[in-house]
Amino acid sequence: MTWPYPQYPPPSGPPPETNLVWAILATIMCCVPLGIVAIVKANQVNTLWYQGYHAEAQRSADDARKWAMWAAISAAAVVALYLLAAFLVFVLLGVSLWGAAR
Amino acid sequence: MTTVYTGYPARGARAKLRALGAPMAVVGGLGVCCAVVWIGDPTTPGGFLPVCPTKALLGIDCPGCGGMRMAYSVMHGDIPAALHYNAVSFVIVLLFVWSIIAWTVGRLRGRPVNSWLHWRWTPLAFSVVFVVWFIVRNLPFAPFTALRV
Repeated sequence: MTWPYPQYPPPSGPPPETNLVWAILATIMCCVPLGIVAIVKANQVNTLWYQGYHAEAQRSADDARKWAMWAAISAAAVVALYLLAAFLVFVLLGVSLWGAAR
Repeated sequence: MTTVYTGYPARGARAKLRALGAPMAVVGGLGVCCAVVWIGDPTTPGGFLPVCPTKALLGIDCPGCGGMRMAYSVMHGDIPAALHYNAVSFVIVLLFVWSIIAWTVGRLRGRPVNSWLHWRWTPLAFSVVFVVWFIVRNLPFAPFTALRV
């Protein structure tokens, strides 16, 4: 949503959704550094909104979601690497044991 | 994209189902996670549940370490054990129960219901608790060594 007169902030109107929930969940369950960035961005949303910076508030909300998403993606990548490594170890162990048994 | 936040309460089975769809998916997902933790029993070492990567790689307790053991203890009604494994995560679980209920009620009413996630100081308070908890539970002297899990 864009406000046509950014230099005259309206007195009311709800601030945009801060996406704080995603920032917190990403921090707890995924990648801590990226999640912290998301929390900081989510923190800016209401402050900016009540100062009249509506476009900036909206951008911070979008940024918060973006950082939380990257935190989740990086965590998923780590889990995938972990599973791949576990699988490789399992296969190598199996092959070597099978070779030793013959 | 249409929204369930029309300003009017959900009327009729179809609208109610649409409002409850996302919360039911979340609760279902949580139920699957709980079932996995219940079967895996993280309180007994050597199960199939992985150790937290932070702990495995760096040897320190991250703010979430002990979370699965905490969940396992809660599901078995052992609240003191749950608080021992991760007291902060226990509180956060309660907070998220609250916000999920508020979210669901808001969807049914057609008007968002605010919870702790919408308070202005929540991001700051959460960050402070997160950082302090991270430091405190890794301090190498008593009484903080009791927080190690």
